[in-house]
Amino acid sequence: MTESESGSESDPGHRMRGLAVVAAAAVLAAVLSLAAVYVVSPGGAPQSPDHEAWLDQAHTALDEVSSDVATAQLLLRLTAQDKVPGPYQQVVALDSENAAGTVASHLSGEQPEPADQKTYTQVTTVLSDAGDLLSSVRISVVRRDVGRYPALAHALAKMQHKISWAEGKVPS
Amino acid sequence: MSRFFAVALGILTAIGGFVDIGDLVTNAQVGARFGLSLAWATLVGVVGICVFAEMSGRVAAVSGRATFDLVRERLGPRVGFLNLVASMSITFLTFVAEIGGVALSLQLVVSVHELLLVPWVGVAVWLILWKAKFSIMENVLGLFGLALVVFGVALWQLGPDWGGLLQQAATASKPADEHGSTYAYYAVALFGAAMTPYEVFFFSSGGVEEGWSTQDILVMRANVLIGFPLGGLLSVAIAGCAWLVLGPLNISVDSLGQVGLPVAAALGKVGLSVALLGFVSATLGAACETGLSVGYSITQYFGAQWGKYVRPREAAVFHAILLLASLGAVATLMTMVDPIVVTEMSVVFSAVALPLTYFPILVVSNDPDYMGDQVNGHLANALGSLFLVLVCVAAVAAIPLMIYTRMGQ
Amino acid sequence: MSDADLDDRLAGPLDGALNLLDRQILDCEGRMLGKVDDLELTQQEDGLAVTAVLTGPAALLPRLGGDLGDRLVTTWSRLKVPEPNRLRPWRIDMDRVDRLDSALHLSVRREGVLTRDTEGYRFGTLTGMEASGPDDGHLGRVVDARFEPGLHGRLVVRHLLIGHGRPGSLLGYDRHDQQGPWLVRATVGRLHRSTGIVDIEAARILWNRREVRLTTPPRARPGAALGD
Repeated sequence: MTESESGSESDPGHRMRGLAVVAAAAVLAAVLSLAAVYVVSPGGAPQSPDHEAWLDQAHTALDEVSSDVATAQLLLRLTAQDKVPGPYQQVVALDSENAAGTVASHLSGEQPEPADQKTYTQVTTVLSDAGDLLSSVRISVVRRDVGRYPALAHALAKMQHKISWAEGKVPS
Repeated sequence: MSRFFAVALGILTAIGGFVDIGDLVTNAQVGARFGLSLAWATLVGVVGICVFAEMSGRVAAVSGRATFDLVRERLGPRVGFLNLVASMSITFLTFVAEIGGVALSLQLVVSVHELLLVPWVGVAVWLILWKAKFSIMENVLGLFGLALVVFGVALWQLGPDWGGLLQQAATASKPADEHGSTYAYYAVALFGAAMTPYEVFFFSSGGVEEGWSTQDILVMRANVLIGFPLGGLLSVAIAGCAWLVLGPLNISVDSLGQVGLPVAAALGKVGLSVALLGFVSATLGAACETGLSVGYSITQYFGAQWGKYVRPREAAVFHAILLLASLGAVATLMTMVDPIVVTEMSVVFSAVALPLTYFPILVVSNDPDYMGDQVNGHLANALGSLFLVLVCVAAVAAIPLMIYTRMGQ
Repeated sequence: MSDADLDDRLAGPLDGALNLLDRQILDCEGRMLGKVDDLELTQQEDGLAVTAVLTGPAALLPRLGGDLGDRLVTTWSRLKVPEPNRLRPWRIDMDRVDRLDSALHLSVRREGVLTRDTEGYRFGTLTGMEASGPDDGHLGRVVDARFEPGLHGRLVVRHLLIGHGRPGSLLGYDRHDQQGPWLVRATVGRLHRSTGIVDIEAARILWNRREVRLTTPPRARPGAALGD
């Protein structure tokens, strides 16, 4: 509240102040957009992460896909008890499938260090399998193929085990 | 007798209108991961919004002027302009989130892709803002929003260990597998979700729309001091349901569909349908409020005629702004940005914008020139000053926490 | 609304920035037409009098101050180059003003009330001017001005408030001793502990140089203008 007015300042001083403000605004905008990209993109930093960052991303990705698989499990259980209306089922199944797919494709798009290559293959395989399974769930839910639900529930439970196994393979 | 009904209607509308998409998503996210250990943040936020909504309602009732109108008078045109730009941006971001929320809720009902629904929601919101009578809009959407009480019923039906839940809430015991920084981040997010900045501008402008006078102060206080806390209880119920059903399965909430699954688990299809009615009403009501708030803040800064209490042709600039805001929100959502992500960002940035909106209200409600003998008493001032400090702390901490925890991951 | 309880402020002493600037303008039917973005001051026999209320972008933008204000004014003038006197603000003559309470009420309807045929000094230029003392020492800025009714009923400048800080940043805390909350009052008090008041006779306003030269230094902190 105690800023000074610039009314009678000389012109060069005026212009310098103006340039400084524009420069500060540009820097701020750049920092904010970088921060936003870092924050919003799943897994964080783009493209070629170092060892620590990659392990971090792998763990996060496995957690998220595990959550999606658990959502599908819950959905099938509630659907079998006839507790969820049709359209709602479809949307939840589709959301889980899309979420898992996005996470899997983001992680496989990363470039791990050579030392992490083996873990990379294991993790991305598990994630890809989970994505396929969730697609099958979605297809069955949309078709109301109730007969397949028990088999799918079983497969989802097994997938959770696989994800836990993969978690164990990723050193933290 | 009719006065009793008027008061009851006001309270019920306040309860049903309290929850918006930010509360739905944030409370479900927090509940699934932290249970009720962050209930204190919601409690503090609810007390805060009560304190400041009462102040802004009193300002409108006594002076007949809405708060943003008085922001420029008190802070001057320069600081008022910066305040306008900042709070209007946040309100617009919230508006986008709410329209997205309506589309997501409708998607759960008809299973049509959200992007196909967004333009229709935009048109519906604009039509309501243009044509519908203010009190009818508030009352209808508020009352239907009461459907969210189903979360309380579901919580009861799930038969939890009440002692355990209360202990978790009272001792704020963070689960062992979560970091302290994530805990702090979600505390700030819950705070921002409960103390939405637009609410005080909307509440005082609404008071002018409905022609409040000093006789209405008592009813206004009843609405705020009874309605808002009960609405806050709904938020806690959402968190509790998420903890009981989603928590054990390690499900983290990132879609609106997951928010309703606990109700399905407890009450089946009927319960879930009621919850969906609540989702649609709450988000639609909040979309109307935030849209109007964008219009209110701009017109009140420049002194142009605003309000739905005059015919649209008498307030042409106001309605033009509402139309542009609706178009802008629809356009933003059509870029396929995830409305849940927009919601999460709006909640955090709301926390950042809080000091801008609360400081002027505290100053204005103390000014005898506007308030006469209805200036703040010692309690209002003590609480107001305390919360001013709290909102400043939350505002400063919000963005660093958001970056450090990568939005709560 | 309790406006009826509040007296017409134009009849008494008031502070320009605090009580008049940025007020909502309402016409005789209570409809809104803008804000008091600035005041037109004209030198008359009894002093510097308020002759019109100024409103609109040409009046508001210069008051945003600093670089931002200057740039916006330039942009505004360039938006419509063929228009003559683009930077001349819309004015409402004080004859058409009825009373002042929490808003400024006109005695006429808002249709066609704005005119733009003349231009005078602006109050917004006066506030923010550097004030220097008899020995050319920098004493601060004009933070506000105190008006009283003059010979013809028009408000005339009687005192200037000099301090360090921007106009209006006193937030009204110098008016009422007990205005709460304590936290804000204490902070504003500290920031403005050197605000003083000086008679207009002791001031020489140099409009072109945006300076005020005082022949006596300001005296102690001003009390309430609206004498509650």
